[in-house]
Amino acid sequence: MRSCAAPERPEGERVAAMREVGRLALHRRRVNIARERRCVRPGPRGRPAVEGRVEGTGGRAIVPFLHHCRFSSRRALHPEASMGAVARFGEGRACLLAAGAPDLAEALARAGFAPTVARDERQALAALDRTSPSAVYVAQALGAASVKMLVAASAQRCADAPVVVLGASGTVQEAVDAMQLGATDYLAPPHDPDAIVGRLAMTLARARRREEGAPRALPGIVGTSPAMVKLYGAIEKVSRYKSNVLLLGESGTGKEIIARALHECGPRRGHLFVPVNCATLGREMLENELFGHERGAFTGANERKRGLFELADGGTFFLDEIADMDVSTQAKLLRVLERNEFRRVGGTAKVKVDLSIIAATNRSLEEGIATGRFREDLYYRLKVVTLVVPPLRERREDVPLLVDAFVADFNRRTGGRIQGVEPAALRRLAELDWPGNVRELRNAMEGACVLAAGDVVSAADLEHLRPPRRSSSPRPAPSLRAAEGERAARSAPPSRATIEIPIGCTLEEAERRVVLAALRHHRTRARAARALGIGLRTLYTKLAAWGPGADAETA
Amino acid sequence: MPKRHDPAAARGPGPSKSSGSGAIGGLARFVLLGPEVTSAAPPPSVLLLARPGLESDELFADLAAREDLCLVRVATAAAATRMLEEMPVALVIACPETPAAAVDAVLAGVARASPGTPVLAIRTRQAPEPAGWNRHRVAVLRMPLLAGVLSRSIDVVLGMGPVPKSTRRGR
Repeated sequence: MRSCAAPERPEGERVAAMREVGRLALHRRRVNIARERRCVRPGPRGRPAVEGRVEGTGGRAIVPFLHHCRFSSRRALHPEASMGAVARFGEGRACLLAAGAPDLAEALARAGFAPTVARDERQALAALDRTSPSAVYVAQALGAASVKMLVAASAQRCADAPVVVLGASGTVQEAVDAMQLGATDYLAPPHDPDAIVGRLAMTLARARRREEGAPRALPGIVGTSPAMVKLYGAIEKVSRYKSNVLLLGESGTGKEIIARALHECGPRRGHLFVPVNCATLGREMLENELFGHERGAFTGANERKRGLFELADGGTFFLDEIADMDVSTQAKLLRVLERNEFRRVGGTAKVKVDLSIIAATNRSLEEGIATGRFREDLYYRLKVVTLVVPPLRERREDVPLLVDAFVADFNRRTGGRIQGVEPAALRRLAELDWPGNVRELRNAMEGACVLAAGDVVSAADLEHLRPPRRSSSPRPAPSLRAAEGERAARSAPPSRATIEIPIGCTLEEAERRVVLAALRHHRTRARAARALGIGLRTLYTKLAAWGPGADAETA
Repeated sequence: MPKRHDPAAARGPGPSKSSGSGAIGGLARFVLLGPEVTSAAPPPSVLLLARPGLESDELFADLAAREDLCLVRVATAAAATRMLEEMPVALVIACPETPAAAVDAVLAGVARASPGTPVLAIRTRQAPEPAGWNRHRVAVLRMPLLAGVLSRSIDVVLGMGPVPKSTRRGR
């Protein structure tokens, strides 16, 4: 083993220098490393100088030691006792080098790792099966296909280990390609072994700090209400496995954010999360997007196109508004779920994929089964685990937190200077029912921020919002509320308003007239969608398809 | 006369090229700029060519929250070209909705004002890549992007420092 300082230096001087460096590091002082002068000296503004020189390996050899002192959880370690910390921070952990340079293996061994050197892709894959490395280095010299395979295999088999690509050409495209494959880092040539070990020290120390810190926050989810805490617990449990999940909840409750959180916290987090809204595409288009097509499968198919299922291989597929998927497409989806395979449109070869499916809907799938619009076998396949996302009216205590988050987001996106919301305005926001849930609150807050007279949103800025709707009967318990609105709309006394549809009118035109009449009658899109028995997003999709004229007709 | 681009300044707080090889310069920038280490040098400027919109806002939300980057967002190629002439830029990013012609215009601006500045062009899955981009220091990122890929790509590209003369032609 070799210390970071050159062996020819007197031991006393070396210890003194390292002690001073450790002291500075522990006090979080900035330390500049001047390579030419081969000394370690502190930052500006008259901080005490470090006289001890670090020779032989150059000043940057001190970097792993600095990081050991700065980032190690064992801060109590005395700098003097940490002499040779560089040699120990590897703690005997395994490390894989796929076609790496021998001097890098030596440097890693000096740092306390147990490096395994693989000459080719086959050996590297075998090593990944045998051991669980703490870091993986893949040399670009192995070829693009091997690098892709090894980065993917590393992400699957040792998700927490940093995967570093050792570049060959050093071009920007090569670096970016490595990142897109899922690598943690890319090092352009020439590869300095000591520098690489220093960088690994930093990466591992940061990862350890993350592990030791507070429990991982769920990305994008805001709320501390009992309903949300219960949901967090469920997400925590469900995300450990690769099971399919069915998300139920009203429109605007944040089902996609929950799906993303499940993906980010789960074992597939190193792979793609691919969301698709089943209501926005017609049957043929949706199948083409999901499964891809072969060249010549239909007019205009000039080249083979990989589908989104193929693209998401290894990751998570989110199917939003699953209730709106065509029955024939449901059969094909069922095959993907059961056999993990499918055929491209116009193709004969089977394509194997490994996916987790998260499906979401704001409608009752049981009713869909009863009316023959949803396959029962698919329902049970999707419903391995069911999570219900609570509507905003059942977690009013989260409104202040959400409002803060939306104001901060508004400021960040638009460069706004809104400081916050007046207490009276906050009370008013908490009183509203928010049938459009978090999405409606978000848009309302953005409108209020735009219209705010000063840098604080006041109650006057919220006057355009609807008054609170007081219902005499309490809300039902949180079960499948997706169908609640639909049922309520259906059980409500029918309106006297009528529309006339002439015989000979096409089905599409009839649908258009019914939807526009519902919009005119119910005033808001959310209510109209509920009365029509369709999702809000479906309604938006239909209106977008009919063009701006449709909106004008409802005015 | 607008201030010309200074690649050394645009590279950010890393050591100068004379203090070591290019790779080490890039490395030291990361090693010394951990979250607990302060630096007097300003963060590198990243010029973002993206029209306002929900999709691009979501795509660049992570970047906007980063304090170690100075993100300058412009909506048009003309504005991007002007910014390139007026301030040192370490990296240019073009969003997926940017037409290839607009990227070409920005590349011309880069060649004029700050040659060697890397350009990240984010393109949709099937969008063609004009052959002329090979001559510039353009890297293409394809949608959809894995979480964190854009941020990591920026870190890596900024850490690579100036383009070596031998690799300026082609990728």
